[in-house]
Amino acid sequence: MGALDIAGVSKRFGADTVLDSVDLSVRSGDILAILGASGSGKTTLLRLIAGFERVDAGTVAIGGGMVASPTLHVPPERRRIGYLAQEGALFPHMSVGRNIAFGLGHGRHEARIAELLGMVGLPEDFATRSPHQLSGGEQQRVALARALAASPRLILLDEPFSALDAALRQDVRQTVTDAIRATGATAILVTHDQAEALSMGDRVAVLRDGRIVQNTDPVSLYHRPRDAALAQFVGEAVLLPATAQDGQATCALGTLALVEPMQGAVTVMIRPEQIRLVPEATEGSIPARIGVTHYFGHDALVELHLADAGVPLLLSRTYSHALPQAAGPIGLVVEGAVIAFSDTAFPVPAAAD
Amino acid sequence: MRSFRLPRSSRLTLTALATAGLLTASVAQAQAQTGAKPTLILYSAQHAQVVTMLTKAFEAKTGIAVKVHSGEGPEIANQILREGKSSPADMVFVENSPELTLLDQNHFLAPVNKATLTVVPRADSAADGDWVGVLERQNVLAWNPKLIAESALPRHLADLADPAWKGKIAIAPGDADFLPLVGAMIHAEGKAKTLAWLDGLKKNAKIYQDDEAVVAAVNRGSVATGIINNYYWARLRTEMGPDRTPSRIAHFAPGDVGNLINVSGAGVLETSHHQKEAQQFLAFLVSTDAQTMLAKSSVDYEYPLHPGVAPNPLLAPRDTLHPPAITPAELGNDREAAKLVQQAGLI
Amino acid sequence: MSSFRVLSSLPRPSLPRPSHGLVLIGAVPAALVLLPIGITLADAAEAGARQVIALLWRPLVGTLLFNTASLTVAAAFCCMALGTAAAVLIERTDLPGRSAWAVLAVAPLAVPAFVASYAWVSISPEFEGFGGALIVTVFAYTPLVYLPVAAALRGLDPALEDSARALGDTPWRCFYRVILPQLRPAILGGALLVALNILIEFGAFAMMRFRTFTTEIYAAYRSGFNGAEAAALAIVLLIFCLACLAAETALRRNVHYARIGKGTRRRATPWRLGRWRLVAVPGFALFALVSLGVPVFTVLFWLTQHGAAAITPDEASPRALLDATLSTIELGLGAALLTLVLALPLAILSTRWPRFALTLPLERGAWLAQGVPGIVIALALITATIGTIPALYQSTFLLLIAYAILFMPYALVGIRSALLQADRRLEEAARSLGSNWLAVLWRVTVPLAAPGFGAAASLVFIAVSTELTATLLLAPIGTETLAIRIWGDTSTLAFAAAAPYAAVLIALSMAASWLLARRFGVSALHTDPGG
Repeated sequence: MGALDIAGVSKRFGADTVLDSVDLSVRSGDILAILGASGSGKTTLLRLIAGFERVDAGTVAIGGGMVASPTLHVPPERRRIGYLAQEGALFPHMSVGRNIAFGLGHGRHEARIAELLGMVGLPEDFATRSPHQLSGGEQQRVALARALAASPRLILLDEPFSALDAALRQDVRQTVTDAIRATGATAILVTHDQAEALSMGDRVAVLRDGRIVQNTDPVSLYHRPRDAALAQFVGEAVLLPATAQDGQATCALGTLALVEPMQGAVTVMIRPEQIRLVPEATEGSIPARIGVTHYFGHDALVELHLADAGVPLLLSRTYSHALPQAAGPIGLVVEGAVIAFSDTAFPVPAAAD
Repeated sequence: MRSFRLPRSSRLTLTALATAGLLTASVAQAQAQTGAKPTLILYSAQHAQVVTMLTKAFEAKTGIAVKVHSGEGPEIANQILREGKSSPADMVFVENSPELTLLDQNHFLAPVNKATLTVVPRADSAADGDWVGVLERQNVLAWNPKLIAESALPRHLADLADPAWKGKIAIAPGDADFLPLVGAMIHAEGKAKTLAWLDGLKKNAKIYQDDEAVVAAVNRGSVATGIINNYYWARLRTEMGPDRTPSRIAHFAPGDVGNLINVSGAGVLETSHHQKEAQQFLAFLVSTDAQTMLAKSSVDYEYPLHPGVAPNPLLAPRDTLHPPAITPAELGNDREAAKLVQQAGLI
Repeated sequence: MSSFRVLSSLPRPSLPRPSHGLVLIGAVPAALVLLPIGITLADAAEAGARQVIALLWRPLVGTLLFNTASLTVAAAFCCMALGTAAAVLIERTDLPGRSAWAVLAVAPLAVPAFVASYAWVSISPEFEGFGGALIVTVFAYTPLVYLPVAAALRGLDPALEDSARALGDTPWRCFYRVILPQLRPAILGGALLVALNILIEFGAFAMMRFRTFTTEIYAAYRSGFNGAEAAALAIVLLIFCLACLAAETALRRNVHYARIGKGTRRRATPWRLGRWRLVAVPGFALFALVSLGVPVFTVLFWLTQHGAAAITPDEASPRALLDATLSTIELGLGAALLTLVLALPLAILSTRWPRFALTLPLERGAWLAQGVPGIVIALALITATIGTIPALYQSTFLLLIAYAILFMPYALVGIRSALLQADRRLEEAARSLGSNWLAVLWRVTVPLAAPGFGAAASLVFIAVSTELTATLLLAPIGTETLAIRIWGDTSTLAFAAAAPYAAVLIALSMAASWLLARRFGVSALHTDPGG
């Protein structure tokens, strides 16, 4: 029995099947990130857990207690959940303090409000402010304090950082993670941002077209995705046709070690940070030519062309201090084992010349 | 940008001025299109349907079109006073004589043709012959037999100020028809007694906006009695039918002020540029044709002043009315009456 | 008019001072609106303070205050309840046939209150007085609450509701604690508009024989003896109207509308009505029946009654009907043109020089028109021209001026939005792409601004064709509009005679409103001084 158990849940809107027989369990105290593109059904899944929508099939249990089935619908107010909406959804006609105490019932809650404000990194005197006097990040912190106020057993986060500036996002994300960990609550985070999912989730469940494609820990998801599309969804990926034999695969970049043994025609997936640039004609390196460089400051993505025009564009992620000075010939070395997919039909980007 | 924007706004200003000019020009043109036969302008306080019938018949007979401006009697009389010499009106036709007296006293009316004046009883026109009586109607008491016994009805108008009548009488002091009654009271009893009567009436009466509302209230049983002109009851009876008209009308004691007869009359404005045609219209109003048409229609329930034309059978015969002996001149011009009514707080 | 408010929040380019000429003609609307107020004050001043006080210190004024206050309170309360309930049911529940009800909920706006009044009194004189006045005002003005509340509901972030539910609120408690407080400004604003409309309304109450300030000002004018009385009552009325207008404006200015963020918005999950739909659907049907069915079916009934069979046998000849229809259309078009032309310079000033010192006062001055009743404007214009300016007195142009004063705010809202659509920066972009100013005007400005001008013109046209008070007092001799005909026939109980005119007027107004709503959305039917 987990903090949350979802079994065979389906949801349709008219003729549109948004969720198709979803199974999902979350261990108590874990943060589960549900990662999906827009339209994947991830928000609907969250709303089914919250009780804002009704399931068409399957069951939802929170802490072992059944809350939803086609014949049962426990209303949201009786599910003891915390809910953090996209932009906080603070009640604009109430002060910060009254917002936080909203779910606490009658009585005085000054001490609890102060404690919660401290937990989300805001000073006590914020309690008397109006929501419209706060910045987006502050609003989101208050919304979290409000969601945590009644010590819910399950916290649902609906893309809570997507409306924030990039500079603020990391900071707020950290506060939220710390606060959730501090309360020991179980949390479910819905997001379309793979970096957010990988950094915050103890586990990450990827939702695609209403189905869970993979549910695993962040490291496995990144390095051992189930298919090529998923590989590209959770990060930059270089996909090459290869021939596998047991623990090795041979492709345009030579013979590479496989994470799992495979046989026959396959597609190998290499992360750009696995492709290291070495001086031209270094022993064991593959000769290549540097194309366009995308510079990000801390690192850079370098486009590489092989002599064989049939090989798709390659990418290498390189620390910016190790970036080659000029375009021209260079050598490549692949580090570490790679994963191979039996599916060989993958999008081949046109090679630039 | 500046060179483009400003010309646009100023061009639009020019358009605005041109539009204004065109509109004024078209109005002026419409006014100038008189042709061979002039179009007469009638300021009327008579009922719209009555006037429509009359002007249509007049146009059919003479080819002279009449445009009508409608309003309450005091309103149009005062409107003409305010318009002064530039008033567009050629004729005026009102329901009550005081409004004509007011215009006559201020020298706004031209003498009416002798031939027209002689058609109707001399006493029903202006003493100086500046307006002619056309129709008349009587003040009566509407009453509802479900609420009051016939024997309990008042003998005199003055009785209604008695505290015994509290809540049993409806009046419409804001209706133009109420003022002549007050004027008659002033003539008969003097100002002080009239004011005291109005004070008593104010304590007793339920106030309605006009005579139509008074007679409707009596008929549906909201109030026992109400002071109205007789033809409002006749109209209500036509509207509702005999089955749904439980109310009836009663007269006061013979010769009582309450039986006052109001004369509806017409005059020609001294400033009119179409004296001949305007006089033609007045002559038409008292003609046998016009008077018969009015008496036979179910629009107007007034007594025709043409002695040869019988009134509508729904009305009490003319010789049973027993009005007080008050001439239009003695009735005055409503000004005193209006002051007293206001002083009493009724309007 | 939420779309206009959104537009007005666009950053506007700040430019050097406008030319003196533009400021001068931009001041015309405000001057026109202030003119009747000034004349009324002058009329009262002429009578002297003592006489004005004596005129106001009368039991009649007490009666009027009581009538006005009791009707306003009762009608505002009913409109708030009905308008809010309708908005919630249509916007937030799974009520069957919501889109049809949404149209029916605003359709009463296309039926002039005095026509509804005519319908009710022609059914029975029993409806005269407070009861009838309440029925007519409630059903005529409920859209004034419904529209802003529906807009506020659409603007609410559904996440607020979700959060409240997740925090333990039941649906009812959530509605009471979270949704209702945020609708409050819209509800109160709508109620103030209802109050303002009740204060201004004349024809509906005159036909109902319900005495309010407007009917009594009219009566004072008709009794003819005392211009000071009309002026004294008009001043009291003006104070109430302007107070309502000010309160409504202040209320709107203080609202921080619910949405703090700016992200994408999910459509709110409709509440399940369940068994409540057995109450809601008949409730809506009843509302539609009373607000629309009664006027329409009553008019249709009287249409089938031959003149002689009904009360007074004044026949409506096809010729008279055609004349009245054409007069109405002509006046509507003329007024739309004049109003737009007068409003344009001020609209240019307010969109292009919003920070110029005189822009705001001039705009506010023009907005005041919403608080100046037609009867006050009409009487003031008569006073200004009678015996002194015979060329204007009783002229069509004077009537058009009255319309322009009354409906200036409609034109301003439309033209402002049109000019904001045709943003300067778009014109500049076109110039940079090689178009000369004429080409820019033709290819960019006109296509962008035309819909706004069209909406403004239609609004003025609808308002003019259903206007009674100023038309009645200022129409040139011989000009009979549909409204004047209905008025004349109804006051002599010639209900059958009035019916064809009422039918044409309702058809005209509904057709124009329908076109307007289809083109610009239902909210276009509802102009408030938000712009």
